[in-house]
Amino acid sequence: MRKLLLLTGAAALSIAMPAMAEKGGKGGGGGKGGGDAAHVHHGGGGKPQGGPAAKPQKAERQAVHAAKPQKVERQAGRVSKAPKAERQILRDDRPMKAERQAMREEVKRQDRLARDGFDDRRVLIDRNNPQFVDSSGASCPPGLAKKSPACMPPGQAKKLGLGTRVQQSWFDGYRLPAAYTDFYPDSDDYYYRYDDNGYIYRVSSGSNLIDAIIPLLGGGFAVGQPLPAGYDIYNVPIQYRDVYADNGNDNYRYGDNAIYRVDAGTGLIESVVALLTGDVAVGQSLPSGYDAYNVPLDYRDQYYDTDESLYRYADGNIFQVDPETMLVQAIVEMLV
Amino acid sequence: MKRGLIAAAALLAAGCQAQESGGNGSAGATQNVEAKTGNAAKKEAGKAHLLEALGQSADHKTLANAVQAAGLTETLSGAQPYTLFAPTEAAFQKLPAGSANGLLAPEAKGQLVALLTGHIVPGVVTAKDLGRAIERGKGKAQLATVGGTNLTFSQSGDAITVSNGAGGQARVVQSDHMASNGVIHGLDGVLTGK
Repeated sequence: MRKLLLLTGAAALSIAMPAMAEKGGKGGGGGKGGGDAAHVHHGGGGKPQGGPAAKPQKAERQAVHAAKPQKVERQAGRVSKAPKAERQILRDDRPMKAERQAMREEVKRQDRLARDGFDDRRVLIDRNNPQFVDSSGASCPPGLAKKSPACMPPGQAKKLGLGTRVQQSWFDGYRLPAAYTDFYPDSDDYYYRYDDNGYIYRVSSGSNLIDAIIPLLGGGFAVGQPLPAGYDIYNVPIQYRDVYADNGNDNYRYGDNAIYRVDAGTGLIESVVALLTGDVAVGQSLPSGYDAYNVPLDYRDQYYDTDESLYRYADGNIFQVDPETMLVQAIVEMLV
Repeated sequence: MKRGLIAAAALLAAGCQAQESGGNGSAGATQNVEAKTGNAAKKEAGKAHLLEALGQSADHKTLANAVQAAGLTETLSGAQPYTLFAPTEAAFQKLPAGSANGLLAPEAKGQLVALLTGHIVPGVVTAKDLGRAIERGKGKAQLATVGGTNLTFSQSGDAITVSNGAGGQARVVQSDHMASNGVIHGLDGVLTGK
């Protein structure tokens, strides 16, 4: 059924989306009866087939909402606060700042121990151990020796320059992201190595010198690359939030006209899950580039161009457009 | 209507099982546009998604590799509908000497995503839709890509040509390879920049 949303509501949705540049201009259109009245072929271009988690039906969502405890109940469920004097006593019982700091350090040390398998506070530098010796023969702290490349302080690895002679051990434990393995196969002339800093290094097989440095794609957004700074907060456009919601394993972030799936543990971009245009908004003119009817097949029986209305798809929504003014009037269907 | 498809079909038929051909070579696009109906397109819609369709096409191996390298595999196999204007193997081979390898070279990685997203349009635009838009636009129609550029389609005789405004031009030589999440049209050129 056609879900014609109020202009104001739809405008609010568009405002909630990340701001995008308005391209301006008019789209074409004005054609008649672009759709076909025959049956809809399921599995066509519209509804997700085997996509991410299925979106609950509205009734189900309402049922879940209704099942939530009411505000009074939630408040009753909270642990009641101790009186102010008691809270003061409790605060006084807390460890002193220095002790808390020491506890935090110990927790970090245990984390390192669990992660790296050794305690870098207690291991002495063995200058005869090649693991702890960099390419120049100089020793380095064991902590950095475990880094990749070894002996390279954090944040400096990406400065590994062209012409650097590499050691295979630098890249131990790291594999080329699966998405790139076919694209960058080792050959007789070159081999490719990857570290967790978002760069692939092409290394000349004969000399072991870095021949090329490949940043994993445009603007800091690329599969296998750490998400750029400033994307700590969930920012997926509202119409995609039911589908791309953070969970324990994966986070989703919007940026650079795309939605990325990010490994919650490593912070590495795992995949581009959707590409958006972000240029269609209710209440504004249909931007250029929407001359052709582009509604997914499953929805063409419902939304086809007439003298009264045009319909265009963008970013998970089907928009209704006034053929006279070319103003985007409403979102009539949200497909995600 | 409408001449049957001959040459263009041969280009893709081997790899694209579900594709309906509709025109003869360069002349095919316009004829395809007229020949296609929404119903026909629906009937052609297969179970394969765009990524699988590319993988099944012997004529899009280079493009499939590029999509994988760019990390767009989940995009083209996901739920969102897209129209992919897909350069064929012949299209990549038509690039100046070394350019094809250059595009796929590691050093060009940053350009790869821009190149690919400049060939992807949101929603499902069938050949018929495109033809109607060109007709309404008195010979021209524009489609916005997810890469932020606009593609301009125009009628040239029986052929439909496309340009990206940055010097890249091609002809639509294959049309309406329907997938579960969109449609693929073949191009005889790569829409590169200046």
